[in-house]
Amino acid sequence: VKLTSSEGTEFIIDRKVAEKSVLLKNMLEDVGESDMAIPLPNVTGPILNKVIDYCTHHRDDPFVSQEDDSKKVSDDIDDWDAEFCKVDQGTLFELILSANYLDIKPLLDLTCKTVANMIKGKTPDEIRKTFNITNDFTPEEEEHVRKENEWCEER
Amino acid sequence: MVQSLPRECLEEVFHLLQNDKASLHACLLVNRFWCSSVAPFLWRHPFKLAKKPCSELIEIYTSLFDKRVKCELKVEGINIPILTVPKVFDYPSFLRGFRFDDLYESTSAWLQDGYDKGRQIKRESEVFDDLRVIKILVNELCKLFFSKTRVIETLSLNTQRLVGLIDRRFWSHHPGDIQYTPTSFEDFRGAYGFDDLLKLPSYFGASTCLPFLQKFEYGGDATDGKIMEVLSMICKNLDTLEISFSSWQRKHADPMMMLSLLQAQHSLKRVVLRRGGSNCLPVLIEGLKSQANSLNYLEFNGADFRISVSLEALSYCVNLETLIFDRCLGLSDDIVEPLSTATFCRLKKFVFRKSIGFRDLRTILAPAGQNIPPPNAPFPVMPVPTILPIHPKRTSSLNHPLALMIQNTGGNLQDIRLGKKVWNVRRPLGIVARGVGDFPPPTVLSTISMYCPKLVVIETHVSRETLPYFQAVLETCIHIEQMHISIGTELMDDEVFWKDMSFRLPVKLRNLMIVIEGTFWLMVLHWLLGNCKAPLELLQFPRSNCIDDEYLCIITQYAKRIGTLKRLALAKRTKVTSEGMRRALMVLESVTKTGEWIDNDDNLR
Repeated sequence: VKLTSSEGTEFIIDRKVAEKSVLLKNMLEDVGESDMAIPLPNVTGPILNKVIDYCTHHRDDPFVSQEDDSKKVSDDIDDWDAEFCKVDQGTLFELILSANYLDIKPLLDLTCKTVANMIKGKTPDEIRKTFNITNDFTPEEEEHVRKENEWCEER
Repeated sequence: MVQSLPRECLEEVFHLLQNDKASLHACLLVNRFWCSSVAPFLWRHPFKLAKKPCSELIEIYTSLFDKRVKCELKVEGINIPILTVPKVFDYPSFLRGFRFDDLYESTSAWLQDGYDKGRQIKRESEVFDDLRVIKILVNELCKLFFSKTRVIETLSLNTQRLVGLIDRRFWSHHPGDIQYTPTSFEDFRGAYGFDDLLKLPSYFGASTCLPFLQKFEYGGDATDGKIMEVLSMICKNLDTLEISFSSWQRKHADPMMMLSLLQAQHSLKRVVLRRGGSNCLPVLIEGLKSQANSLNYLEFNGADFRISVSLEALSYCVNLETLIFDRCLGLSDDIVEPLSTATFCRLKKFVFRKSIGFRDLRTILAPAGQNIPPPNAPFPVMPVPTILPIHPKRTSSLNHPLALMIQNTGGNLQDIRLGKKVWNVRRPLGIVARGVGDFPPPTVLSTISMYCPKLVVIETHVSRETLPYFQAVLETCIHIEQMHISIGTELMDDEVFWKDMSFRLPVKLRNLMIVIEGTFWLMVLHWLLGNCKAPLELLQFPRSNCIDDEYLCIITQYAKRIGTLKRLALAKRTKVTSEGMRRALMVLESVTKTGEWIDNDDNLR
């Protein structure tokens, strides 16, 4: 299967690897055998490379059912996956967007778990710093939200 | 940076944190976008997240009552101010499920708070009927939820949970004005009048949100089961149905009402039946046939099979992945006979823990040939006995129904729990034993050794008679990570047995529990741990009161040598001193004296 990234770089991969993506799987089923490259305008070359790495490593994994999905927790990442996610934040978010676009549920889960782990145990201010987010609440708004959600605060 | 993630991706992240209240709360205060994305997760199951009666939640919800309701409550002595500033979110619209008892408890707590702080409740009211007001509030809250939310996924109407706290529940906000002090749940049930619950499906919005119900739990006989029939009209997409029977329910509940809900489902996956006996089990078990194709989890917990119940319907449920009989009474070979022809190719977990009641115990303990006194004869006082086999010869049967069932599981069983032999003194049943008599018979263990190559978890009793078959299990099931075993008294001081087991412990074993009633020699620990190569992480002796500092010292030495052991779980009445504990904690991460280690995941995996 041929894939083209947003910059026009061509990648050739096994069909089994490509089929980890539900989007590609459906496309391949609709189109059938073809030499035409599938354009992926939303995915850059380096990110597509990472995605292919992931799908190749997990090519033989069984399909995860919706039911198993409900049991997922954010602290069961295996060593290879943990290493795979050791990337800068920009890459991590691009991986999330690509996993979402290409519909690769296990990769989306893995990358979101990584983000979830970055959030765990942090204060709002620490989260803002970690992800470089600006606080756009007015003091009144913030106070309002805080008061209505007082029940969450540990006592 | 994460701001650039679209809402759906951010929601994926919050979904992973859905049970982590503190993290969700922190996210709420990050910025506006995060706030609006995370609020629905925080308010999805707020009572569950709060983990205890939470008056603040009721404060928010009641503030959203409309004016008419607030006026009606004012007449009852409850003052809820009219909202001057709108709330940031329409919180009830986020709700996806709740438990009646949580709602009741939190409402009680809110009234209590209101009284203490001189708000809500008018102190000058001469007559303030607690029960009536709580009931009105709970009903109005349910109406609010149903009218605002689009989807209710989980609902529990288990009023039985209110029983345990009955004395505390009838608190007095106003000690001088207590109108009613029930002394039993029956009293409470009569006074509260749970029949109001029957109106739930007729509230505005209920017909829109309740069809999405996935998990329903019923218990406590609140409406004699009628609510199940009422719900069967609109809830047909249940995934999980849990019914908790209670002793008094035996005479009240109508199993046909429950059956109607069971049979109305398109594809039920999980059924849990707690307790229950002659009047309901046969009807419901037969009803399982209606869900035979979809059912993958079936649990009987504390059920009484001493009456004639046929399990034949179970063999229709060919897609079961988990089958549990936990602490059930009367599970004789005859009762389980229909399982011998069942083909559960997908079964991964099988739990078969028997219990015996007071009556059965008399039969077991009666010396051979002695007539058993009639049930109404006075029961002779006897000391807690040593364990005796029930039918010493019967165990040689080659075709035990469970052995045949295990043969037909296609080798997929990973988790088998056959009970540990434990003697308990409980009220009001008297002496109850789990892991009864001669169970498991050798044929079941030998079948496991031959047909369960993927076994990861095993729990069983080991006696002299079953020892060779248990050894075969250790030999062939090389993937065992968790082993919980009780040891027959005849093996307790047997050097050869312990040394042999030490060699045979599976190479992947991480969690080992050994149940020994009574005192065992210090040497036993040397024999057991001396040659142990298993990478144990958790070691448990939950019933051995004899363990003192000397025993602990041997375990600590082993822990130093092997390097993997992190946790040690000891009996509640163990003789370990605080100094002994201090020394052990220099090597181990934790040493508990609370009996069995209860892991959230039920095991170490």
